[in-house]
Amino acid sequence: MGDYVKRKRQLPQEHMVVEKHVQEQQVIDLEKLANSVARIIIANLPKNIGQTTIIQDRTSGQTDKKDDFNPSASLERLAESMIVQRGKKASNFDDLGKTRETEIDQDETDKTIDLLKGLED
Amino acid sequence: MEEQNMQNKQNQQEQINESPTSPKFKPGVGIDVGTSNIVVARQTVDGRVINRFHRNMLYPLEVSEESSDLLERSSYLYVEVNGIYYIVGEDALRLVNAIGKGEVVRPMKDGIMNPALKESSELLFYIIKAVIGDPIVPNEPLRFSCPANPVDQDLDNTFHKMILSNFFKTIGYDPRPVNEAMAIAYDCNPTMKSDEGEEPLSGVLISAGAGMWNIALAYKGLSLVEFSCTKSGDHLDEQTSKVTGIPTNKVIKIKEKQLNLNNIDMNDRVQAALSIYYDEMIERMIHHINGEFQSKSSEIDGEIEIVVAGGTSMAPGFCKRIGEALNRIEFPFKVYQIRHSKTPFYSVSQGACVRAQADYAKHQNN
Repeated sequence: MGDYVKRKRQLPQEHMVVEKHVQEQQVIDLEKLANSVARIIIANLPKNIGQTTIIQDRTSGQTDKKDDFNPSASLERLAESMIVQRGKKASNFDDLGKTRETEIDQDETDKTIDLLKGLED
Repeated sequence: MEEQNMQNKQNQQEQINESPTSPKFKPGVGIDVGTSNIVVARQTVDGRVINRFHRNMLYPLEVSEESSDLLERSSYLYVEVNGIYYIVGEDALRLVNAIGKGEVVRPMKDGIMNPALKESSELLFYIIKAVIGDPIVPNEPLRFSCPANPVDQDLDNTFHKMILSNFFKTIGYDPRPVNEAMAIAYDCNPTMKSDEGEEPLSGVLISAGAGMWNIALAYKGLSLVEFSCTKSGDHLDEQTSKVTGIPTNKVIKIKEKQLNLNNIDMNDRVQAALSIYYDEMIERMIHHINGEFQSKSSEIDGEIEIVVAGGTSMAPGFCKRIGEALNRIEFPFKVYQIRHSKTPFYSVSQGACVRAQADYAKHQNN
């Protein structure tokens, strides 16, 4: 008789019941059980898994930030860079355009000029 | 009929002067830097106004033996930049119509420099310099037209103004921008009638150009409200081309040579489409005028006149259609007259010239 049998004989009655129960469990369909457990776990998973929503609360406890930097210096430099004549140009004209003469009411124009002289842009 | 008479009168007043002698000019030059045309106005000491105009269009041709040969044998004006010949002005339109393929390109789009054309600023400056020439006095005052910011696009004209201003400075002028619609006020002097008499330089100004229409409400020479919209002449051409399948260049030709809004041939698909899009453009203008001017109605205590100018306004019947559209809505002001500029194509440049002359006079007084 080995040690195992000796120990069993020494175990109280309730241990024997438990062991019997465990032996009975061995006939349970483990695959079925595993599938049931898996179904329960899946049913309890968060529905939007893989679509995690990140909520950014940028204003809590802070005032709104505004970009009040004045970019006019950069614009001025950009504007200057645009008028640089980069490529070599060759043309067959010195001046362009047709001319057309029109008449204007000189008195009316003089009055307008007088009024405009007193105005700012 | 009335517009036809006006057109005849205008034709009589204006004489094409292909080879002008050198007249003596007053200091102060105005330039209309338009999407479709560049127009420079100067006044002579004897009171005439000389307008020099150039179609702001280009037709690109790759540099090759064939293209070089074509240019040598023809009288086309061109500039060569970075391995491409750009045929300039009216020749660009003629050539594209003759070849029947390709499209003209514009250094300007929607009232400002065309960002889609890599060489736009270089080409534009080259062309402007050839049209305007040198200043006649050191730091000659120059006023260049500038559109207001549009209601239909997120565009800011500040950079456009800066670039043009820097360019004119480099060629010796003292430049300042002038709002395109306000320039019409300085040329045509609209008046407001009130109990106290007539107020000069007061009214609604409409500049219907190719890339944009611009509108301003003027009071005693000051601009109270100004805005623009990019759905103007070019938009009409593009939409008409889309719905009819006729190339834009041909639509432009029909619009400029045949279209009469008083007498539309509805069997002609291009005319019919242009007529419908003209109506839509006018309705859009009136819609925005109502919205933008509503808050200013209390400041205008009298009856005003509306003055209309610009290349897109030159189709006969344009002003009549504005009048009909106004009758269908409740306008913020009482309007006693809708007036078409006597010289619609030159009003912006002439008004800018008047403003530049005032700058010169002010400078002389100080």
